[in-house]
Amino acid sequence: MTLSKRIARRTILRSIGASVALPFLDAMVPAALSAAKPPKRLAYLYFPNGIPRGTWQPGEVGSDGRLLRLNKWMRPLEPFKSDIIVPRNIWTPLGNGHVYGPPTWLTGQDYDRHAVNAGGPSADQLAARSTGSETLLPSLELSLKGEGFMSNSLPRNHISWAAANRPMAREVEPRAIFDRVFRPPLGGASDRSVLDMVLSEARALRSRVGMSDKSRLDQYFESIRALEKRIEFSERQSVEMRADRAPTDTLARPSPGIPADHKEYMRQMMDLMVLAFQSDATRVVTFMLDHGQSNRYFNFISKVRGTWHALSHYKNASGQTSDDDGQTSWDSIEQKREMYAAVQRWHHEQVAYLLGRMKAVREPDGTSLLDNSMMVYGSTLGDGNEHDKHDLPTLILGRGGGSIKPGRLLDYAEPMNLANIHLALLQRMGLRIDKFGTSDRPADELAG
Amino acid sequence: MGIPQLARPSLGLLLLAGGGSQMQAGEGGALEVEPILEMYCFGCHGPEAQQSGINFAGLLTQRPLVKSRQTWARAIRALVSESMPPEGVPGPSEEERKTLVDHLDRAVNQFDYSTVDDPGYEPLRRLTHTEYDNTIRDLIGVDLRLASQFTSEMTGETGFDNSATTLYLQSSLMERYITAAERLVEDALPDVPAAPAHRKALDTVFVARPGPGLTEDQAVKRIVRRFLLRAFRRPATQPEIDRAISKYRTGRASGLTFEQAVKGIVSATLISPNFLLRIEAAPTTDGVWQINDWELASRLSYFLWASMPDDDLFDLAARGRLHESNELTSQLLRMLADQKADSLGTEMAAQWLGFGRVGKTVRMGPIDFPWCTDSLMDAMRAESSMFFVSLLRENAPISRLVDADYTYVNNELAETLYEMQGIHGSHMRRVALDDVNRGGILGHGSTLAITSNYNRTSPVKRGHWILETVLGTPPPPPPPDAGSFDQEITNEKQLTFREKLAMHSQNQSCRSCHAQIDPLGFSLENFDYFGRWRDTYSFRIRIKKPEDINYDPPSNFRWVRREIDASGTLPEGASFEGPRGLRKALVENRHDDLVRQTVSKTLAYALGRPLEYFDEKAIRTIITALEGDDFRFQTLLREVVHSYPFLRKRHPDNGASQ
Repeated sequence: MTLSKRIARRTILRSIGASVALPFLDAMVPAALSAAKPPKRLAYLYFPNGIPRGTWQPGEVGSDGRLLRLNKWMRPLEPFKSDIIVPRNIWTPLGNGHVYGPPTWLTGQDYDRHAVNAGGPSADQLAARSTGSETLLPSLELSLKGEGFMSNSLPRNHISWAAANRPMAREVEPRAIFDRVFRPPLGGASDRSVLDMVLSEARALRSRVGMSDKSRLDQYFESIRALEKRIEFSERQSVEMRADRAPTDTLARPSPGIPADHKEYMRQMMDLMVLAFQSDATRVVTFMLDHGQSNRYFNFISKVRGTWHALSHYKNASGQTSDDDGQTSWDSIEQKREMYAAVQRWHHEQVAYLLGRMKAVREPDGTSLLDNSMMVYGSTLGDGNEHDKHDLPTLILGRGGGSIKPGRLLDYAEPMNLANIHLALLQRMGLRIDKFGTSDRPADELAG
Repeated sequence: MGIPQLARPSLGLLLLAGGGSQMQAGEGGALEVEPILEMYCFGCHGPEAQQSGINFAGLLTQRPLVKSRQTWARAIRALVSESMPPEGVPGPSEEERKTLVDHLDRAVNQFDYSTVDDPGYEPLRRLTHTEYDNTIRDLIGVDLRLASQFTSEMTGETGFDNSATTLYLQSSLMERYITAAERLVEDALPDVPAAPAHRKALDTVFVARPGPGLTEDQAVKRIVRRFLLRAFRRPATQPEIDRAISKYRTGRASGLTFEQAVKGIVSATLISPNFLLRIEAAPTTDGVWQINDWELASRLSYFLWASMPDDDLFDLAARGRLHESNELTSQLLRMLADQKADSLGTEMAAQWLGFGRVGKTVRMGPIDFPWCTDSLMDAMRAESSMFFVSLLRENAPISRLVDADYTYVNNELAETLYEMQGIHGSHMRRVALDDVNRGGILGHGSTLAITSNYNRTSPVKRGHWILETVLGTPPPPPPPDAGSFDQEITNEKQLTFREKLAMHSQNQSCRSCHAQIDPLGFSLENFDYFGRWRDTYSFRIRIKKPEDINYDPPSNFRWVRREIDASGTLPEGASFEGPRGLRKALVENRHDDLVRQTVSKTLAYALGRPLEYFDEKAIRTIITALEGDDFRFQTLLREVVHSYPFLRKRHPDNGASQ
């Protein structure tokens, strides 16, 4: 790319007031991506508190299962109905709900609260191990910062697990994510000689500590090695990017802290996710749209009042239960249920925004980022009022580089293990496995 | 058994005779009660189904059975009361029931802990964020509070922040450590000192400078030796010193100044595993070991200060004297008097009793509740932690935790929550209480707020908190379908919560537990959701019809006042009135539980790991010592730092747990 072209683009970028990211940043597309078929990207978008029963059912479906019309609650996703699969009758046999749901959603195993053990690594982390050597970061774990009582509860806040007993730390601040993706640590304490020195110390330690401590010490090794890899990667792969800081500077490095406007916050996180995929900084992302029992207020949505979790218990509208805040009450169960559904619809709107961004990003071969992505968007509760573990609201988004045929309702007659979908997606990410969690049957029907 | 002498004081490691092989207390093979359990209980609590999360088949493999003491104790209670197996299911004969109960009772309630000598294993773990900040403060001499930029710490179900089970080290955190190390060197050790804090930090690190009579090489060696000792909390090994010096030389060769090259060592050290992790040497043979004095210095300092040891402790460790009983006791008292021991209130007590959540996860909306300021909530936390630490420093009896006649306030706390007059200024100070209802942890705004719902009290939460957190005797978990009142009950807006709960509890499955929980909470109903005193409830009633005689336009609401009934009962039956009565009843009837819980929590925090069944032996030893000494807090601390598990560890691979 010529300098003049870049300057021109920079000018354009500056003139667009997007929150964080901007599409068409091919200055940032690493060379490796430009020739071959684009890589597949995998993402999991979690939302808590379930849905009011009935609001996940498509409005109209053709005899061949094709989605003709979504329903009024899912209308924001209508423009993308040919990019999504609506599976019906999904469940997770071993864990669900507010507490056990998040840590088991992607591991397909049981969760042990006392031992803080999620049964195994989560699907995203397995994928990250496989693709991680090719990208700046093996994976990104994003979450909106929790509010309220449960916001530092470990199980409610972790869907991603490096190993059965090791949850991945989540990034909640847009600027910190931006810096991880675009400002790899260079110089200073991350100097190669420093890393060599501390690694020698860690090696010397290995002979001093016992067997069971060795695995804990390995966490240290791994984190340093991950860092080394990032530095090597950025030296090798993105010399161009670093040589000219301009493109990233132009991306309006987010301000520190958490945006006060919730929608702005959500969209900044989604922008960063798109940017990370687009620049091939990572191919695996998890994003918790809120923690497993979110008490967040959505009063900024017209005609909605009360916290999300309180709304999910819509069959008691008195405002006097232990889930309530003591000052919000509702006129009727119907009214409360409608607000609960409105919160869900608001999240659909944000996901639609994400899909729109991904669809607009052109990959070097002319396909869109969404075409090459596979994303699961769902919750670990069916009907929130019942704490229902059946028919978990789930959507599969994207075409997986042609390996998925979207635009359909997948209506399972028997409860269908979510781990079958995880297995199918992991295979598409190139993992040679035939079992995952409680599943040994990949959901091959995703291919059509 | 006596405290073993050190065979090699320089290492402080010792194999106790016969320790390892006798740690398992019998019970290897099939038990005579297995067939009975399998026949009558496995149907609902076995390999196929785990109702209430109980699987006896799995529990039977956990030997000795006392390992799962709480679950077995529940089973024994259910068998004795004949509430299990439930009606309509074939049950055991009288004889079988007796065999089962006798066996379980022997194995669990009558377990002979003298057969178990197991100090447990404190795994390697990273510093908590608070420990990191405090350690940097004491290592460099400047309080930078860098951990606020770290990924947030999560708490598991096992207890304290410092529990090894939840202290992960992920690469994203490692990156923060690196950034923090860089910032620290830039901010605290600038090339040109501009503030007294800079000079203090520079003096702390640069303990020598090349000059007349001291070569650069000698100066650097002196700096490195001293800095690594303090950063690693033990003398550095020769290879560690060599590595640091070689890093220094590389820096100098590339053109750095003396100061810059030394600072390179500082930032590298701050991301070293020896700094970030708390590491104790592995035993090289089987059995139980006494930890060495350097390790003991760290255990003491992270327990009492949530920070690194100081020079006095290092000095005693270097001389191999710290483990000596009288030295240990006098260090304990010295450390307790130090301001750094405030962490026992701000960390240990705050996490145990939960008041650390005030202002964090517990806070009121600033628009509707403008009085609920950050400074008020800071004062609420400070009240409880200062009160707790005063009990330690003044060697009060444990019962004073709930039964005191003083507290700590500033003007905002006194006026906003406590209706106290004549308190001026924002500093916290001790005040004697005339209000007999207020003294002790049960009358603090902080604990009353964390046990309330938003804007509304919850007698259930308060009762549960007393039983579980203060007394360590939690009621069984609620059944999955419990949780809220029926709509008809909640619609009755003029009913008090007590009346509603009484209606709710007519449901048999709810009543047995709520009868234990609620009456404790009801006695605190004169305290509102932030601990302000009130004599009546006020109910806001929506007026539906204009005919209503109290209709008062333009408001659509009217207020109804109801008297508060603050009578309560203990689960065992003693009845009492109000907060004052509750305190008295707890001290008279539940003193043993209060003591045991205080001992257990203190020991778990001191060890930095969840307690295991074998720790019961240490708990009993500590309680016995307390009985002989009026249950005083300093006796508790002294016994904890002298306890079997605090001074020892066993080989991780052959212990009774894991």
